[in-house]
Amino acid sequence: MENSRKKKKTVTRRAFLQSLSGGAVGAGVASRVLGKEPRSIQSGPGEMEVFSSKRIALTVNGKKVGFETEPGETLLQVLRDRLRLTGTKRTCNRGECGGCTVLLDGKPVYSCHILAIQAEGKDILTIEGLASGDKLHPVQQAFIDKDSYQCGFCTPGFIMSSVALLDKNKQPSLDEIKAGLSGNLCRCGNYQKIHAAVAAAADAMRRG
Amino acid sequence: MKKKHLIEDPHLEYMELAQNPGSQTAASQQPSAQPAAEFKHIGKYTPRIDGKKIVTGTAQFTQDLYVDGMLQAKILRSPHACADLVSIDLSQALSYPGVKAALKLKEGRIKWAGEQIAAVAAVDEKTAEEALKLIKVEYKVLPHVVSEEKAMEQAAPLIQDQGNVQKSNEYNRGDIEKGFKEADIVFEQTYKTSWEVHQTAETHSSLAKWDGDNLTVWDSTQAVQSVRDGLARALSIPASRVKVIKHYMGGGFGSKLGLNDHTVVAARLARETGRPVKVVLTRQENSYCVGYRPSARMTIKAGVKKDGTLVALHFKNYNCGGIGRGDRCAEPTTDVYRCPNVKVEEYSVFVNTCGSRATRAPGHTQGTFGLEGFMEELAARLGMDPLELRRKNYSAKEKGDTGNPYSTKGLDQC
Ligand code: FES
Ligand code: FES
Repeated sequence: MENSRKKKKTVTRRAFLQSLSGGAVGAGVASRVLGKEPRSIQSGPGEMEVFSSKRIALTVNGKKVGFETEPGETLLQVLRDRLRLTGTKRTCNRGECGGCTVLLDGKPVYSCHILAIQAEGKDILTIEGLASGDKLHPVQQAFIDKDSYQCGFCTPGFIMSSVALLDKNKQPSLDEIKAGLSGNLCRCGNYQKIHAAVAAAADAMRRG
Repeated sequence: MKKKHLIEDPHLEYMELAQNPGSQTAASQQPSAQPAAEFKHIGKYTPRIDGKKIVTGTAQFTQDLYVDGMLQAKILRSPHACADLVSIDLSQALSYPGVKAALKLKEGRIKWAGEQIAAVAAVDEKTAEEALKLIKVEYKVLPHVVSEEKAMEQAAPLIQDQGNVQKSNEYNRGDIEKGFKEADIVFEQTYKTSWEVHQTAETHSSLAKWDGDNLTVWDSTQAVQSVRDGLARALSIPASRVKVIKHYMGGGFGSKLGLNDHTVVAARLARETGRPVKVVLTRQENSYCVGYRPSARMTIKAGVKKDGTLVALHFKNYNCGGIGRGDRCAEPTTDVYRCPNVKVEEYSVFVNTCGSRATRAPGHTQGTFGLEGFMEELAARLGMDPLELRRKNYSAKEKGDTGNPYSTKGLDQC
């Protein structure tokens, strides 16, 4: 990819955190690290040099990938813009909808709210890595069988959250399914069929 | 003209229906019921042909498209709800490394916060974002109004020369005054609905690519033809040179029914740079630049007999859809219940926000909320069961039992 920003720049810890996109989680992180009122903190002696760009490696869908990352670059940007793994969707890009959900060492995370450097050395599973060859993961199959999508844009995020849920809880009740997927939004309003798919996938996985 | 029967004559043309609304009659008999088990497709599960692509993340929505040499565009938008544009200076943005083109998009009066001012195309989104910060714009800020109530005041800044309040719908049936005179009880209530943003899962996105004089646009749209025709007009080229493709769309709900301004920007930047250009709106832009369901303030006044028979219905609505007209919301009131005397007055109130757009059953959502809320309260006022009140005024035909028969309704079976 063409890159026009090779010039060295020093980034303060504050600027770095503020370069994260908005949203509740970002604001929360910034105020925890920076004190209650980030805006009142003056730049000056407390500044910390971070990096202008850094080479990192992570494992995505079983493959090791290495690249230069820039401050503020999110895991979502890396997946989509660098690796072209566009199954992970940029939906709100502010930690509120779950459209960008991937598994980080098996745990569901919003990739729009994780920095690429935070994922350094970690194992990432995206929707593209879920099936084994032509064989779909039971959750994927259940989404097809239960017709659990309308536009399908939220589907990858829902599937990843469902996989994480079923990993922890082999036989979730409807309420547990709802709680497990409460971090994902479907604007088409297809929740009932999504919940049905998770229940069906749980059955299929128990049967083996 | 001989009346045709829809079930007997499946070839009845829509055009004929439109020209002669009385040309069809309701089904006089049920079609012979075939057992569901004998149907080949109806009632049977059929997996969607794109299912596998959706669940494996390989379905490519517009925002997922990356083509060789592609640039990304970002749009600078007005922070002011009302202003005159004095000047735009693109020079610093143009010299920012990685920027390939920049465009001025506005002159004259800005009428809503979010209007396009300028755009840049750069090697990636972040570069384009940085470059936007270097565009210098001088505005002469003017007074604005975004509240519907304030816009109706005498002293409010004028959004349209013809005034901030304009009649948008009128309908009369029977004699409303006579109806109120015949009534035992006259009852009036006001219902308000507020704006509702579509917030499609996939934000509005377009990718434009020229091959010589031919333009191909991948668009997150509900209407490829209207985008094609709109682009042809906007760029002054024949529609035959424009091809619009949509494979997958992450929700539209009415907000993706026509050509978007940013799509024209992508096409212009692509022409200027000779490279494909993609523009993906942010969630914030989707929140205030691509429409919403307009608000309604509906005052419904009914004249009723003691037994609940409606004899007069007056529906007055102030709808608000920003710089555009809001929705007509009267249809449920004019149509659903039998009532001989009906009067409708609807007005659009103009304010300094982006224009509204169609949103799932435009006008009916607001209008039904108003009407059915009213029926509940009217029933309480009459000491009647709400369902009984509705059945009492049940109408099997639209326009209060004077129009075409409903194909399905079912209220009488409740
Ligand atoms: S796109 Fe990350 S949470 Fe919405
Ligand atoms: S299927 Fe459209 S957002 Fe969920």
